[in-house]
Amino acid sequence: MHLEIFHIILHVILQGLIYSFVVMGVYLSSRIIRFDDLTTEGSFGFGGAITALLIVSGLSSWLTLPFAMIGGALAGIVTGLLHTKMKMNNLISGLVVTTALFSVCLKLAKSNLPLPDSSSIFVSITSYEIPLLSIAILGTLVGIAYLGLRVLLLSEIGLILKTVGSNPQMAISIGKNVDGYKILGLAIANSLTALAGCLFVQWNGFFSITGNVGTLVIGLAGLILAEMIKPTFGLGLILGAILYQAIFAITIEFELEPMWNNLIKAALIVILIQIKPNKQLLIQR
Amino acid sequence: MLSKPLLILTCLIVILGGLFFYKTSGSDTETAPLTIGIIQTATHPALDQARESFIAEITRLSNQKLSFVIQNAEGSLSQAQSIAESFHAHKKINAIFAIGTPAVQAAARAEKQKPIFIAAVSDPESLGIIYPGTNVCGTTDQVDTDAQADLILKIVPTVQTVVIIYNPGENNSQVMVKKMQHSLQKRGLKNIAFGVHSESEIAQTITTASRKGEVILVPADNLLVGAMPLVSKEALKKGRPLFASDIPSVEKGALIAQGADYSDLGKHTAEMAYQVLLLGNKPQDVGIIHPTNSKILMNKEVMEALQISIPQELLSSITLIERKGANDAP
Repeated sequence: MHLEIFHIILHVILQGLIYSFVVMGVYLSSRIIRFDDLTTEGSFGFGGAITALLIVSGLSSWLTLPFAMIGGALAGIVTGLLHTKMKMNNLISGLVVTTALFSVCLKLAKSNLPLPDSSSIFVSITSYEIPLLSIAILGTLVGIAYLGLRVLLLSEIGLILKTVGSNPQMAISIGKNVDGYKILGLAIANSLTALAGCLFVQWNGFFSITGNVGTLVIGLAGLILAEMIKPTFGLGLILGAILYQAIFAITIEFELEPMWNNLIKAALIVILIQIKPNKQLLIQR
Repeated sequence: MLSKPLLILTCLIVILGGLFFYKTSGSDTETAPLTIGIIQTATHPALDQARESFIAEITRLSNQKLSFVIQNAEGSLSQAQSIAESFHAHKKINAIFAIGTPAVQAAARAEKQKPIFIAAVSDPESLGIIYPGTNVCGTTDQVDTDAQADLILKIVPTVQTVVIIYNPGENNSQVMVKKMQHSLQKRGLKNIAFGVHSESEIAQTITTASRKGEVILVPADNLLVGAMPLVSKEALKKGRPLFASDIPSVEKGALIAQGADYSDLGKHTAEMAYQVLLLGNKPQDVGIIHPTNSKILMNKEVMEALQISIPQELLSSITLIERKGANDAP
């Protein structure tokens, strides 16, 4: 019995760690440069498709990580260009890119592409029962991404990114290229999301074109939970992602008619947010 | 500032989690000797039918009280993973019944020991889950596309071009559409395939499609079967006969269907589950079967609206039904 709980908690952490990249990406786009970015959904799938294609064609699984990130960054750059150069609304430009990426992913990896056995960075086929090694690998990756993002946000570039989001006029007046920084922010955000897609596919052992459904919701909900823990940048982002996965894991354990699952999930989120109503959060809504 | 709310949250999650683990694993084990976890890809009439008939049939066959844990991923792969993971972790769950391709893949990924029964998958061999010593067995919903093409020629002899509408995002549909195109070409029929990605594109696509061909053909596609009332209404508006690949679609207004009957598939899978769980056969020996289905269902109301008549030779093999609800009024 205790092993059952242990196993489920480990899996919650594992899936939470994968989605924490998405939460960090969403944080960067929606909170730092204040750009509501719908590309998230597309770049998650795109990262996964690139990964599946490369692994099936024989590339080492570790090398797919940078390629997936480059793919995600490209998606973010296209969204940024559509928004800044072609003056398209931010929601529309993200939506357009996500829509286009669906076809690209279908072309790359078809609707469903299983990976050959033992070809993922998680050497977990044998140690699936207690995936401690996988969690360690993921934890390290998340840690690197977190520290990288932290250093970036504290640097001059980070300060300008924040200014571009909160006060674009000021950024212009100090002679900064607002468009360029927006695109940079989107590129980084989406490369993180695509990395999550890459890891998701490697962990699952297959790519599915519907695998990205709901990524944005998971990212946003994780972000809100994270802000409840701490309103500014911090490890809360990772915890938020894990919490959201825990909520669903608990929902399953209710074993009610599955039609009630989403209602329970919604109720749990409301309860959690009520524990500590964050002033900043309430004002923002 | 960071640690207090964090602590509360972690406590909350652990307590809630622990409570339900305790509750669920404590009570059921004594009452039911066998528990089957059911994981379904999404809410969908055909998949629901497969589930219901599976439950009914396995309960009848085993002649004892079984307990079922039913979960639905509602289209989300990460939810499917979590569900499969939960089934895997719980010792009280003895076997898994997975319905639909993504659910089957998630279950096969998480569970390598307990038997997994599958249904509503078109091409399990291509998913890499069937190997020597596999714990997966069940039925596929492959449709006899040759018979389907013959049926189109018999019902609409003047047909030249068949339009196929499907969702390119579904592995099931892609496999089936390829076979359909092959069968149609063999009979000298032209075909055009249209892809739709969401329900909102259906009406538009059918308007275009009905200008390009005389007959509309739909595979057992999750998206299109889920939106069958809309698909059939639009097809009827344009005066085009709609051929479906699953039996329940006829009740929802398709003209005719020869194909997978998902309640039959659920039943077949239940028989296989019975062999494994109660007769002690190994899943790998039970294997994957492709049930052939000669059942043809035709919608009388739509048939009359399109002024189509049944050819003499088919009279005996076609079952006519009224549209659901038309004659049931008290």
